[in-house]
Amino acid sequence: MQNLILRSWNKQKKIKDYTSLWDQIPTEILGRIMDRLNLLDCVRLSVVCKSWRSSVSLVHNQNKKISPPWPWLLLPHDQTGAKYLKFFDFSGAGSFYNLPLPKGSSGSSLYCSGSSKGWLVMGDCTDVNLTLFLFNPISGIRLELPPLETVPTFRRYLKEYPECLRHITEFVWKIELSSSDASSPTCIVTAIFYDRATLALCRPGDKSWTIFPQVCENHGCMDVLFCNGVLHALVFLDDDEGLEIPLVTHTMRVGDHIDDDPDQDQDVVVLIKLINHHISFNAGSCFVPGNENVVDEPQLSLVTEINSAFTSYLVESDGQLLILHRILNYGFLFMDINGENPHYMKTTQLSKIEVYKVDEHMSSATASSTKLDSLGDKILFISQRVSLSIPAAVSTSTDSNHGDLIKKNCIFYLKNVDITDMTRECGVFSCEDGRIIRLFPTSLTYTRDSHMLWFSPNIYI
Amino acid sequence: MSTAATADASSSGDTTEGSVRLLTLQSEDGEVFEVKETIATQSVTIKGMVDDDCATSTIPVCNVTGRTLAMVIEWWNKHEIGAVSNEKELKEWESQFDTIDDKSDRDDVYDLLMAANYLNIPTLLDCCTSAVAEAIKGKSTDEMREFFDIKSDFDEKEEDALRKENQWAFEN
Repeated sequence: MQNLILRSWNKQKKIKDYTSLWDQIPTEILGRIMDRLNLLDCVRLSVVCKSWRSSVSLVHNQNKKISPPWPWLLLPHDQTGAKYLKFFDFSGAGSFYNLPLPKGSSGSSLYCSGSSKGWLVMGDCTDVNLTLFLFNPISGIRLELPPLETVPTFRRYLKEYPECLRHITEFVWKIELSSSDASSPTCIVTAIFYDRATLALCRPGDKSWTIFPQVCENHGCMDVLFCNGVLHALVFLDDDEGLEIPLVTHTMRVGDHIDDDPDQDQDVVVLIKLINHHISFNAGSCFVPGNENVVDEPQLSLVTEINSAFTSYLVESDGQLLILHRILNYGFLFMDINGENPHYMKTTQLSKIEVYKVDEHMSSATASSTKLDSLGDKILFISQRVSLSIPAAVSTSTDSNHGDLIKKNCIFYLKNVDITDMTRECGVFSCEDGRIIRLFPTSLTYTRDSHMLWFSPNIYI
Repeated sequence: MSTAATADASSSGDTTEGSVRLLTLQSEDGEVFEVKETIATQSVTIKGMVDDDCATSTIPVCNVTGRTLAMVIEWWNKHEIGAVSNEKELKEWESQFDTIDDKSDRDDVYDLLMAANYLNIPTLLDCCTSAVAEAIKGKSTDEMREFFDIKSDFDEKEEDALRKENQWAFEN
């Protein structure tokens, strides 16, 4: 072989003058290197020098590598002595990130009770006091929310559950922000509180919550979502004669309403659309005893008959409003968890998820829904506290180790422990064939202080 | 200057060795290499030239030194179909590129990256980007600067602001 290089690799090295050229590395190559790095490494890399920074920005704008389309999973954390929040990033080969917790007041515990658009909703709880705030774990910025004492049902909650001050996660059902720029004076925070009987709105920094009066004990709110700038609320609606109304639109002024404030314009007006849950609900579809599609887990061995229940979520996918019904089978186990008296505990298992597309008819101001058999190339993430949609294309990273786990047309779901149900479940539901794959084993636990959450970080480069 | 272990560079243009056509490549610093066409076409760039009949005279390989080109040719030889008996042996041979042990290694990888990029050699590009990524993983920004001999050109205020924006990446 005439042209074979016979010398070994190492022998041909020569002493060189190390004037590094690495800061001049072409954007395309740096992009290829970044494809093999996790987000944390990419962020650190972006601060090395100006030329790398501009390359990272370019790559970011081209393929959205940095602002990860794939949400992170906040793992349950221990309230006592924890200094970090632990997140799991599914993208690439998968990474764990430890992000510092904010400092709580002395003797307090910090609880995470939701997330929205890059912000975590946290409660700083002591035995006598409870404050709610937004926390951006990427930048470390903390924004205070109005005192919960300004929410009438909070006082009732404390009266009914005086020992539950620490269980802020049960009072705060869901928080939804209108924008990721939470420090903007026009950003609206929407909250579903306690038993879904209170819908309250505020701007970060306001002195009080503004209660939306149409949601009450008799007309609870299942989910809220900002979609195309309008707040959508999933409710049960009927008129005075008990007839069902598919859609009602309200406007509401949010702010501190200081009467003697000459500048009342500081308040923000929010458009709220109440969508009747019944436009998509088909009672016949709800009951599915057992589920043979669960791949990796034995059926529940219950001491009682299995029943079904549903929970519904609003999700936005490419500007389209979706209603999802998560149907759970439940039953009761006779168990002795903490060595006290054994008693019946409710336990659940996902049976299936149904997806409906909401069609609003502008002319007649009504709405209807169409059942979808496929999500197309989308992946949805649902949970009580936050739901979102991402395009599947961006998640099929070349070095993905997840094989068939991460594919389009599937729904990642989370189910946390609550006051009535001790099941913590997390998995993937395939809309194609109804198969369910658990991401980790379902656990039964009493610990309901600490929740798993989907979290989409706002990372700017 | 070493002429590497190249062929007799007496004739330019395409010559043949048996039935195999030889291509003549010339590095930036003037070294000339004769390489079998079947091997050199692992470079998408060269393959394009061959397909377009543009590879009949000496092919100048700009921006790639003779030393680097010799390494590239060695890579091609190893990756020629049938050159290595099995995949495992090839992986073992490739593994010498997996880790960057010192600054000399590091700069060889840089040269190879540039060559692989210019000549468009996917296998080599993959291998080198992987080696760099492995070296970067888990390093702090300052450690990266030290590793690559890069001086920060941000002023202190700018850098503070950048770090503050992504506090999570710089605190632990």
